[in-house]
Amino acid sequence: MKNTKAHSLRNTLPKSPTSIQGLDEITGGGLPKGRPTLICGGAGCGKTLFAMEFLVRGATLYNEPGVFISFEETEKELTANVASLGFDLDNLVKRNKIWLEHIHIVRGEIEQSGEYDLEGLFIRIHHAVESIGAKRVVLDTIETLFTGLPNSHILRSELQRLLRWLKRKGVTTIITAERGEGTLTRQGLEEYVSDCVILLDHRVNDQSSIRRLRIVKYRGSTHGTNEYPFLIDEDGFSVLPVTSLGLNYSSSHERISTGIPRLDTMLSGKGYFRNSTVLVSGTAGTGKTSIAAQFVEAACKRGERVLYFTFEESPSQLVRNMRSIGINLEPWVKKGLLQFHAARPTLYGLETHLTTSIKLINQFKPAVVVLDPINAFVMGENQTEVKTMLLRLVDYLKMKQVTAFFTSLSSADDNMETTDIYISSLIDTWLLLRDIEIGGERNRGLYVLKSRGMAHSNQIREFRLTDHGIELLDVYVGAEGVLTGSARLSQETKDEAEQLLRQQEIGSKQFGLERKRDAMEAQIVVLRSEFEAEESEALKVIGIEKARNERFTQDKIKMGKSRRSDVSIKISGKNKKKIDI
Amino acid sequence: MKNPQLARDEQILAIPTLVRKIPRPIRNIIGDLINTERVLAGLDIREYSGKI
Repeated sequence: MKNTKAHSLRNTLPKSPTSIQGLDEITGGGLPKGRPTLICGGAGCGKTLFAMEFLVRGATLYNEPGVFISFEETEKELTANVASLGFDLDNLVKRNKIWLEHIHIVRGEIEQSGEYDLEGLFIRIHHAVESIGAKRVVLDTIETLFTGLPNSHILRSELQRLLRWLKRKGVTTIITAERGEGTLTRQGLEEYVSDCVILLDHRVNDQSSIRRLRIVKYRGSTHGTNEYPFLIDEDGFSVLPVTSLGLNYSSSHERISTGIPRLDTMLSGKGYFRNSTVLVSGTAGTGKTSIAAQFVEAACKRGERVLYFTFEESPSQLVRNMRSIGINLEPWVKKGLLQFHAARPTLYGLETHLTTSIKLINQFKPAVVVLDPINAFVMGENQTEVKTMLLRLVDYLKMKQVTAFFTSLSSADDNMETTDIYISSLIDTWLLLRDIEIGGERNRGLYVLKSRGMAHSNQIREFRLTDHGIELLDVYVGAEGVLTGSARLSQETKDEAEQLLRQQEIGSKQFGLERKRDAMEAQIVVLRSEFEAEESEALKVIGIEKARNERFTQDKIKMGKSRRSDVSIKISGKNKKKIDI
Repeated sequence: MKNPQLARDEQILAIPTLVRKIPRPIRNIIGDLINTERVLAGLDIREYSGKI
């Protein structure tokens, strides 16, 4: 025994897989093989079921037959109780895979007189184990012995002997026990079972029940130490070890369209990253679901599967409402690409929501998951729990390479950017929708608050729901601030009118100029003609003068000739030539 | 062990156990019966003490 222990500490301890979803992950492979494990918890927390599932899985999946010694329920009751989980105990018993044995103890039927031991119990367990070659044994709930049999001193030592004996036989044993006040078990069984203790808890918080599991100790093995939520449903037990996931998921560079062309443009032209987490938050009636529906439609058109969790509207109501804005989701539902899952958030506790979500995601294997809205879960002071739940879900979705789309309803009087602060760190792309109230009307504005890993637009867009889907418009940004809706329209027409006026002014100015030019041209013409008239007049005068001069010279010559003065004739001749030229 | 199945059939846990089947109700007395008074009281047969 010592040798194997020392050996197993160095390597990993041999483990007996439970095949309970999630439990093997947090225990690093299962319960300690060949040793007893104590499962404790209050009434109705699922101890019997845990033990039964351990046996059935062992018998069916690992070929390890199991013995179930029940101190409370009879064989018949047990078979009926677990049949609802799909375990066919009758069949397993017939095939010698499971041995059910009810040990009947009724207080008052047994009197003690002198010393006794529990050899009878040993014989029965031994017989059962030997009959089917069992590797796993369950004792449920052994504490009943304490109420049925007198002399707890004998019982304690006998129990200790029983556990040692089971250990020696090398069977993996589960012992269940009721939780005591201030102690793990009523009879202090945890003192005897020192290898592995698992605590199941069933709490009610704000009227919703939460089941949790914690590994109190696990000797010789590392294990998850947190409280893990678990679920019991028609498939049995499932534990959510999601917090054990790290931040080591690979991230995609692929971009997927938002379904709204202009929103794609705002997200650097390509839309969201695949397997990122998108949050749309806004006040009531700002169109969060519509943005989700548009994205869903786009995903379905690409042939991707979409799982839509709706917490406020029924699927048919949602489909009808989306049809009014031109988004027809029904064909995708019929094609099997789109699946709705509607549940009131108050219906179950957070963990149940989380576990059902994860189960559905596992079954449907969607590429896109929508949660609408996430803050439906927030009731009272449980924000941290909601955050933890969402963190687990986001981690899980990222691991599964699923794109997550959340909507979140913020209340109008809060600052919207802080309302959702508790989940901000989980979100990759955060779109904010807000009411813009101007001129007696409410309009919707959309902007990208953050978008990790892309150069996104910092502009506010006006967001309109039309009968052919969502439209994004530029808002009016001018001297009077940001305007939307009819204020934007009126401002735009005002602007247009002003522009028209200015254009007209320019036109008339240009016209005036033209006219001035014409007038000037006309004046030029008048001046020119005046000038021309003057010029011709002057030339005429000059001509007359010349002619007179000529005649005068001729006369002089004639006179000279007649007077016979030779010299003056020559000079005159020269003069005459000059004039001619 | 010759007939371990009998332990199951008779709902025996503790050794030694004395079972009174008739008359009903069934009475179990565990222990080495060292306290005769209690045995007799347990079996409701104080008056027939000589039988044991």
